[in-house]
Amino acid sequence: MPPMLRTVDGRFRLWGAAMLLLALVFAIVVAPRLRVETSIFALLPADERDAGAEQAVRVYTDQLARNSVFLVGAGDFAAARRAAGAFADTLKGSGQFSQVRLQVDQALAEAARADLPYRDYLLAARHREWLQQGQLQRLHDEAQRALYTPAGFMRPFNAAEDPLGLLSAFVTEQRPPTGRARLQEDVLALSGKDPAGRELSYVLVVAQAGNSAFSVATEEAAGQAIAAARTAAAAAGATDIVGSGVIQHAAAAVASGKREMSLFSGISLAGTVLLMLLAFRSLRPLLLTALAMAFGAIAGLTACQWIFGQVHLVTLVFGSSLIGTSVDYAIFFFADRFRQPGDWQPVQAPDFVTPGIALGYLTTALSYLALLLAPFPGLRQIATFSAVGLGVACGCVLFLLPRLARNWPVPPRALVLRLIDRLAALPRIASPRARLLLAVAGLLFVGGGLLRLDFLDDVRALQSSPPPLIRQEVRMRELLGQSADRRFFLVRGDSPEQVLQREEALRARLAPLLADRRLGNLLAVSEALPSQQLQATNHALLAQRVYGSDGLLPRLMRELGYGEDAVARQLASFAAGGAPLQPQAFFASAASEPYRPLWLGDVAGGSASAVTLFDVNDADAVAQAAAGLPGVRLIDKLADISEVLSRYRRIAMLLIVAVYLVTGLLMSRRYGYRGAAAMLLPAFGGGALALALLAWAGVPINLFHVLALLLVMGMGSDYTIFLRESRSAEAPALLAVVLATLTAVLSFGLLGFSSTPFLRAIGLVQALGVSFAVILALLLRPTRDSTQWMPR
Amino acid sequence: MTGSMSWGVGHFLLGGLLVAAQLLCGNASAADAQDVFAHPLSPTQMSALLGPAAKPLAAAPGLRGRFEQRKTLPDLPRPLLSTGEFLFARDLGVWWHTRTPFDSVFILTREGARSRDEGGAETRINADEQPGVAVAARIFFALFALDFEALSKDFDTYGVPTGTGKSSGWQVGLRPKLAAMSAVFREALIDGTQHANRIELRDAHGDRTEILLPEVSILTDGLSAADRQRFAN
Repeated sequence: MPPMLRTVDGRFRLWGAAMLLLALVFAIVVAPRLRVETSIFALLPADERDAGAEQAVRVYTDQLARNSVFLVGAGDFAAARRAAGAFADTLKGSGQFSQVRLQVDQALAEAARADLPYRDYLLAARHREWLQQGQLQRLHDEAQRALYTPAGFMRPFNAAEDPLGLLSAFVTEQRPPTGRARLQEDVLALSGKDPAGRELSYVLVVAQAGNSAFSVATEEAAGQAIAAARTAAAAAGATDIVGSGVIQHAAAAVASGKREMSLFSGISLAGTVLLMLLAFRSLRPLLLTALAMAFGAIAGLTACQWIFGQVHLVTLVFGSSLIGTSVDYAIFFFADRFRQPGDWQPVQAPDFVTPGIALGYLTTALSYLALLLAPFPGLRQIATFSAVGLGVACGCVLFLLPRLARNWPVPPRALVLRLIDRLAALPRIASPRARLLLAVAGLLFVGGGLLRLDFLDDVRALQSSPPPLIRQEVRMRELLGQSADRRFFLVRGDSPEQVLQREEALRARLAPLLADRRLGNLLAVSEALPSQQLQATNHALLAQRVYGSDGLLPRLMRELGYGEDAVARQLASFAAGGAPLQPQAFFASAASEPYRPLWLGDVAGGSASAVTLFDVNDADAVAQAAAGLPGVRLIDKLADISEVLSRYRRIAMLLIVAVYLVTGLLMSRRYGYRGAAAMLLPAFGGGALALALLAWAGVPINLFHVLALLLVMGMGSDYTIFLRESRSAEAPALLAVVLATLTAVLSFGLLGFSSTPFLRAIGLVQALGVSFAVILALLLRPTRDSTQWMPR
Repeated sequence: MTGSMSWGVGHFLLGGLLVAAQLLCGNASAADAQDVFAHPLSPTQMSALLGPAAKPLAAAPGLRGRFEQRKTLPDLPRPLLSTGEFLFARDLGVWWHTRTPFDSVFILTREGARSRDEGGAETRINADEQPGVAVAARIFFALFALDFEALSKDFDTYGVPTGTGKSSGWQVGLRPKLAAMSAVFREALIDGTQHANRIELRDAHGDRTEILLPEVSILTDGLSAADRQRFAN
């Protein structure tokens, strides 16, 4: 070992320098650029197999996430209209929304007429069929009916613009799902029941956020704007306002995350401070511990920012629980004082505590690092943050504290001394018979519990929204009367044209499903913007059958009594051409408004679009529709993630066994095989008991519960290692372990109150598992004079 | 959210306006069409214009009659003529049976619109799919109920009395407030005495549709079973 590292002083200087460097780097480079990620989508595993699809899906999700839909309700339409006006004006005034749509009248009128210049290229599907099959008489009769009867009044174009009603049919064939909302005066409205059961009129307001819904700044500002708008609407007479949209959920998640982070950290810190003051009765240990924890936190944040480019809010909430863990090493260090209360030399402490602390950290780090294997970015961040943070805290304890700590003259509290004596007198289960009994009882409990074990690999384990928000979503769906399915088709191609052609192929496959209602409705860009290929087909058909000199149009016109010059004019205007409808022109016009969110534009080296589905009644048939179509894929994020959760849960169970084995092997180098096994037993038992307890309580288990078992192993074995390693008298070591356990259980127990289900799972299993592990360790500890488990 | 809306709102509400006009008995006389849009009226004034007999007729369960429709298009030397009969039922909708030049039935109800040819060809538009159809039905029923208040929400209303003495009558003008509807017709005129005798629709392109109603009778006793059957699917 280099001379520098041999002395306490040398290590102190080296590590101290490193810590100062770390602090500098953090202050100058990391802190100003620290990005806290709040989007739930950042927690989800990326599609490992198809990066292009993953990117496209994220673009789509981002676009969708910007939309918020509101229904402003009041007793009568006039009041609702007024209140909706106030609502919309407030939203517009906030500057957070690039588009707030209340009045639809003008837009509808424009949208209806937008296709007129392209009439020679657009045909409804049924007319294309009739023309292809030569069924001109049907077209003729339809046109006649329109001119002579009121049936023709339901058309957006008049006889001169659209003599055969072809363009009108194309426009009315598109049926963007509007649900129950109807045009009333100049807004979209519907009537429905409020939560109290009263019949109200609701007016629809749709808002689109200007920035990504997943930036903290947007969420907070948008959330405030929405709150202000609700107040304004209520003042104008609204009695019920229903809102739905990702922004509101994201804002709620951020608010709760921040709340939890501060609450949990606060309580953890307070509890830890209290315990340490009680035990050590001096401020210096506390301050030094705080120093170690601070450096640990800084190191964790730096590592995350460096490796991942951002830190997720969930990582920070979890990080608050590390307060209770990182303090353990300091406690172990200071507990060494009890070895020689009056005459303690901190610089000598490392000789006694280093093996225990270092080995303890290694097992804990190993268990966190095993989390890196799960493809969940959230877990990987937690693993990195914890392993690095704890490591640096451990290093500070081992290298800084020996030089900075001082023995303190204040004698331990009488209370503490009594406690130490009590602890020494704790029963231990030493006799083989007693141990056998314990083992059998344990096995029964655990076995019975495991039999009742219920697995639920639900993606909702990742994030859950507050119930009021979820209720609003449900009500919105009921009131609007339609719901877009979470599944959608992703259509990709090398160019916009290829994407449109592929969409058309997909829609052809889905047409029979629509006809017999196995699929309620769909929304696709190609409905309103046919591919150039299809438009060329349409044009050719019109040229051949309709606008030829003996085509359908001249015949009809002569029948009606038009003169030859009128006929000639119509034929000439067709021949003069016009151009097909191009994507750019389409997306710039008012007619494209319902379709814009579906167009994903340039993504992953090509183009992409989404096809939304409504009322999927036969999921298998819908999924089959994409079979064999290149570039078309049904995306079902919910099923995908649930599948990942389930797959990795199974892997995790194997992982636990593997980690136990590896840890056991590592420990056996120091303690021998039996020793290692004996030391891992409390951790293993603690985890099993925790799991069984949950099973008895009827709590379904998912991946995160299983992963927490890993962490239990890491932390549980910490305590058994320390008990074995401490050369001090037994009782002080026990005290240290009990203190450390209390702080750890406090921290992780707090996580059990998190609003994020997977953090709850981890916290619960950790707290229970570590408690049981320590109890087992205490019960099964060998007597101090036994040399059985002493290190070699 | 909606990409298209009903296009015939205006034209078809005319049928309903015809109901509103079945109040007075008298002779028809046509007023100068240019004048009426210089005389905006409020809903109450409209009711007053149409006369005190308007109220009882508002409660009529139904109406039937004959019609003659004349459609004049630019460049078309002769107008397109169609004739037939119609039936309005307050609770069901409107049934419009064209007899010449071909046989075709058109039915508008709250659920939607459908039309049936003698050849059996049928088209159907549900109110759910085309929000505009629901608008048409709503406006029509408001007319049938002589609800000028409801009408005035969607239209600017105008009216003038016409003629004198025994041939006194009225002329009502309507202009849509909504841009979406004014794409369909720019303005509408209804002439009537005891009932509406003539309806004229003008659109922005010069198309003119004129509907004459030579015979109208009020079904004070409600619809017969046969009549109800007409609305059945």
